[in-house]
Amino acid sequence: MTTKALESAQYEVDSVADAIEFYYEKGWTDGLPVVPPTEDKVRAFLDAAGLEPDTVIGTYSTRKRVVTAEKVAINSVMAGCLPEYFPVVLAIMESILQPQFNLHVPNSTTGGAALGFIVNGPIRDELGMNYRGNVLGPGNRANSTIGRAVRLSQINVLGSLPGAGTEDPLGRPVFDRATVGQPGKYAGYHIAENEDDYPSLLPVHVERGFSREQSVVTVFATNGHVQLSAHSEDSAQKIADTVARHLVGSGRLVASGGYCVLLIPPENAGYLVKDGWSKADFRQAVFEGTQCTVDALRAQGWPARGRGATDDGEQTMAITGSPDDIHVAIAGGPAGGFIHYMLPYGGSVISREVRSQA
Amino acid sequence: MVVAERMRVLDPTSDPVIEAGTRAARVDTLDGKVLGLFNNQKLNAPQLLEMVGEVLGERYNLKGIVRGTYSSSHHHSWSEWVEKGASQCDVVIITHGD
Repeated sequence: MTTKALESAQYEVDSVADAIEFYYEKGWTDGLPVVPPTEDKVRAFLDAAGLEPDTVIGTYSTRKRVVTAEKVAINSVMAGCLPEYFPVVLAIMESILQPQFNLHVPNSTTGGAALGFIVNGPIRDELGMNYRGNVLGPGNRANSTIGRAVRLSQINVLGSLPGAGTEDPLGRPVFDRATVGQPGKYAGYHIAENEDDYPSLLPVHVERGFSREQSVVTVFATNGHVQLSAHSEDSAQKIADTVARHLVGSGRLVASGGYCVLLIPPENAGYLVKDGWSKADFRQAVFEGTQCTVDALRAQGWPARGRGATDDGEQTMAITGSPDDIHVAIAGGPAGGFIHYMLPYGGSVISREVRSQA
Repeated sequence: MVVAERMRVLDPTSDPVIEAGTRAARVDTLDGKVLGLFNNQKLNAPQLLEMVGEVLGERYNLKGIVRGTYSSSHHHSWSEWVEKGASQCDVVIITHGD
C-alpha cells in the first residue's frame, strides 16, 4: 500500500459528467472523454506497481520534466486502464525516457510520429491482450488504453501539447507540431505478439535476449505503417521478396543505422514455418532483398539521401544498416496475408522487462 | 431527493523543473577565430546560415570557416557532431529549420 501523500492539485466537481467537461476545459485530454482520476483510483494503480507516488520513472531533459509514478498513474486512470495494466505503462514510459530513444523527435516533429510497443511474455495473457484479429485496431481494453495512457502522459506530463490546429486557447506552448498527425497517436501501435501458434519463430523479446518467461515491452517510434498484400506468395522466399520490394519502394533506404518493424500475420507466418525458416532467416532475406546501390536508387528516382549515404554511387544502401535491426512480430487474425511495416522516426528500439507487481 | 456526492479529481500535468545553467564562455571578437556553420538540412536552413556567414566574413578577419550539417533525429549523432564538427571551431552557429 502506498503511504505518502499525493502531490497533485485536487479539484472538486459535482459529478462524473462535470469532471469529464472539466478536463476538456483544462485542455487535459486527447480530444476524447477521460475517466476522472480520483485519489482512490490513482492509489490502486500505484499499489499495483508497488510504487510510492513520488517514485521517479525518468526525466525528459528537452522539456525539463521529472516524471513521477503519480503523474503516470493519473494519466493511466484517465485513459481507462485497469490497475493491473499499470506496470506495462510504466515499462513503456521508462523505455521512452531513455536518452537513446530520443523522445524529443516523436514528441515534437512535424512528421506526426506515433509510438509503438510490442508486448511479449506471460503478461499478454494475464491482461487479456489481443494478438489475433484486429490487433492494431479497436476492441481490446488493454491494447487500447495502455497506448492511450502513454499518449496522455506525453501530452500532460511531457509537454507534447498537440494544439489541435491552432495555438493553444489557454496560452500554453504547443510542442507537438505535426503537420497532419495520424490516428496511431491516440493509442499507439499496440502490438501483443502471438508467441503460441508458431513456437519455432522466436518471440521478439527472446530474440533480444530475454527468456520466454519474462514479460517485456519493446518500444519504437514510427511515422506510420504501410499495409501490403502478400496473398499469392506461397513460400517464405516469395514473401520476403515482396516485402523487400515494398521497402525499397518506400524510398527510405539507409547506409547505416535505422530500424524496421514487420508485423507478420499467421497466414504468412505459416509459410515461414513450413519452409523451415526462422525469423533470422526471414530478416536476412528481407535485408538482402532491399540492398541496392546509390546509383540504382537514383535511377528509380529516389534521392538516396538516407542516413550514412555519401555521393559514392557504388555505396550500398538497404532498409536498415544491419539485418538485426529488422524486428519481426507475429500477430493478427487467421485469414489474410496483410503484412505491415513500420519505419523509424529517430532514436532506437528499446526493450525493457515489465516490473513485477507488488 | 438524491443529492449527488461531490468528487475530487487530480491534476494530470507536470511543470518544468528549471535549473540554473551555465553559458559557454563568450569570445571577445571573431577576428582570428574559426567559425563553424552547421545546419540541420531542413528548408532554408543552409541558405540562412550562408547569409549569416557572409555578413560575419565581411565584418571580421576569420581564421577559417567549417561548414557541416547535423541531425536532431538521432540522439547519438550529437556526440559525433561535437567530436567531428564543433570541436574544430572556436564559435559555432547553427540554423534549425523545420
